[in-house]
Amino acid sequence: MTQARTLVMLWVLAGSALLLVVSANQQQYERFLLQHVHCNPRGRDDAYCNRQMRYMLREDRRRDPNPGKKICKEINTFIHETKDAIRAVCQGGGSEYVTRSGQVMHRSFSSFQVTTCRFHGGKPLENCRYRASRDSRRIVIACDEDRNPVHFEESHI
Amino acid sequence: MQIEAVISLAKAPARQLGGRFGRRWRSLAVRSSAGYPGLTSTLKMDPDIQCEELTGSRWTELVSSMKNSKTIRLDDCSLSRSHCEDLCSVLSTNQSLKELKLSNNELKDEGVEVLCKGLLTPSCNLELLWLQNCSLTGACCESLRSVLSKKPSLTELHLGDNKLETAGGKVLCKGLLDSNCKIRNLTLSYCELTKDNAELLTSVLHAKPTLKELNLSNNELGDAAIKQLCRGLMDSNCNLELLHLENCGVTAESCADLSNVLRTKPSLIDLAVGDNKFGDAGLALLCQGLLHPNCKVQKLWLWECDLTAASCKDLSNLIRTKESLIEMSLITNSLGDAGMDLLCQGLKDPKCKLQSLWLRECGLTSACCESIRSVLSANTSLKELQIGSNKLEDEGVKLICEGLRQPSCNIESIWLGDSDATAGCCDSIAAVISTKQCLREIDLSNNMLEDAGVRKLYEAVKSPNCKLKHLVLYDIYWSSEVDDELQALEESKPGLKIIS
Repeated sequence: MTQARTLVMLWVLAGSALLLVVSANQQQYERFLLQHVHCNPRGRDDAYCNRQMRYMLREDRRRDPNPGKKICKEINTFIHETKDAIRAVCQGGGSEYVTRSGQVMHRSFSSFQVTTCRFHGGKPLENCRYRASRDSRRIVIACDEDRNPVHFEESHI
Repeated sequence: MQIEAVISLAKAPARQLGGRFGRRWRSLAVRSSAGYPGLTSTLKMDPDIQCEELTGSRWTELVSSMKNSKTIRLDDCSLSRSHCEDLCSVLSTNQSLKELKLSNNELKDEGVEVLCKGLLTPSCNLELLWLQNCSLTGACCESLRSVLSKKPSLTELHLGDNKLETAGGKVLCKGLLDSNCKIRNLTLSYCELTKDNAELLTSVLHAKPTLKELNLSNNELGDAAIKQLCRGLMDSNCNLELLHLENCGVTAESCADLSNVLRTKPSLIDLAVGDNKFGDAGLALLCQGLLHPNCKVQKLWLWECDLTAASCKDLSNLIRTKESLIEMSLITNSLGDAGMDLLCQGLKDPKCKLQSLWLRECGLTSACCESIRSVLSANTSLKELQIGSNKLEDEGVKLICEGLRQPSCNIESIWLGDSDATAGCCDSIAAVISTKQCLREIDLSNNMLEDAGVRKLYEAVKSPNCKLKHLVLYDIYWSSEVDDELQALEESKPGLKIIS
């Protein structure tokens, strides 16, 4: 009876372990989605940036058990496309792009609608405010082993 | 047994669970399986909660704990009108409640009207009320007017980011003008107020000697309105300490009026006029007041004012002569290297007492970094220097690091994001991190430091001399190996937070 129960527990643990590993890899990709993908933006103006950056920072802090002092991200670009279209850049939809420092990334063949939010004001305060700039351009992203995007190269225009 | 099992998984090698995000997920797994109550304790007497959805049993538990709270802060907690009913009862019964902060909740006019009922009960003695960004309109101003006219205890009111508009602003002012009202701190930024609100706001300035802080930023007021407000500010009754008029349409025209206020009112210690395009001409006028011995300004925000190197001589004089000045922002003004060199002359003066200086995006390059190095070697007052978004490059960053390393330099916070720095300057940065015990915060976001550079940084952070609290590394691409190493570092140094 005890042996059977132990076996069941082991299976549950194995299942959990698998979930943990898979979920952790997903986390980096999911973080990319949270920070950089917003398919249906409303406005793409300063107000949009304020809302979306606030939402993003809030969600990020919510997932962190110990968020600490709130520090506003100074620059962040949102890509207005589906996550599949962006993943496609990792999976053949882009050319290899080597940065000045030798890091290998992917540069999309096609242009994407993007909105870049830049912090403006003084010291990063509780309510971070942003200026929006809209653009349509090729994007440069870094991909992981599963060919999912995990980093957006902000400096490449 | 289930809980232990999950915890033992949580202690599994870092590699298996992938980086900082794996760490976060693990913690959540432990917390949820153990029935951990949540990000903040609900049992605190004075709830201070941000970004949490408060519903159902959690809310009920919270409400009962608020019976004796002195302060309540429920910021961005998805509260709505229904929560206001409960808050109303708290206001009616809790006599010791002094502060209520409900910013960033869609309370709407109906919600606030319910709150006001509670505020008006005889036993309620609330002093501070924050309702920033609560989807309010001018319609709720009548209820607020009523509260202001009956509750002399209410001295701080924050209504920023609500579409009050001209009409709402006028109704609010009527409440402020009531003889019962003893308002001290008033924030009406981003309220869609207009020049037509200037008349009543000026009356408030004439009539309320209790008023010390006024924030009207981001309302399209214009010069005529500013001039009118200045007349109120000059009233002998008025001893305003903080005046924020950012993005209010201030041009060189009204700078002369503001200058008069500065030269007359030593009480005015915090002036924010950023995001007004008055340019060098406007600043020259402002400086006449700022440089006057009567002026005791401590905080001066002049970001995005279309200033150039031409303003830097006056600013340098100000820095060198105004010993009261401790905080100054010049963000996004095209000062350039020549301008910066001038500023540095002022910064080197022993009479300079500046503690915080923000120079992000000022068109600086490595060419002015020798002057900056020289300042950091001599100046002992500076604690915070924000100089990101300038093309400092490795050469510039290295020079700044040389200055930072001087034992006399007391910098606690240095912001070098987006500086075109690479792994090449990381040895210099590492040397600062591992030796500068006073350094608490460093931002290196948006620099191509790559694995090699980041590794140098964390080797330095490991040093026992390093007392860093925040290592800000947004938007730097590194490998998953480095990610794991950073995670291990954060775990080994409990005071440290790596933000990316």
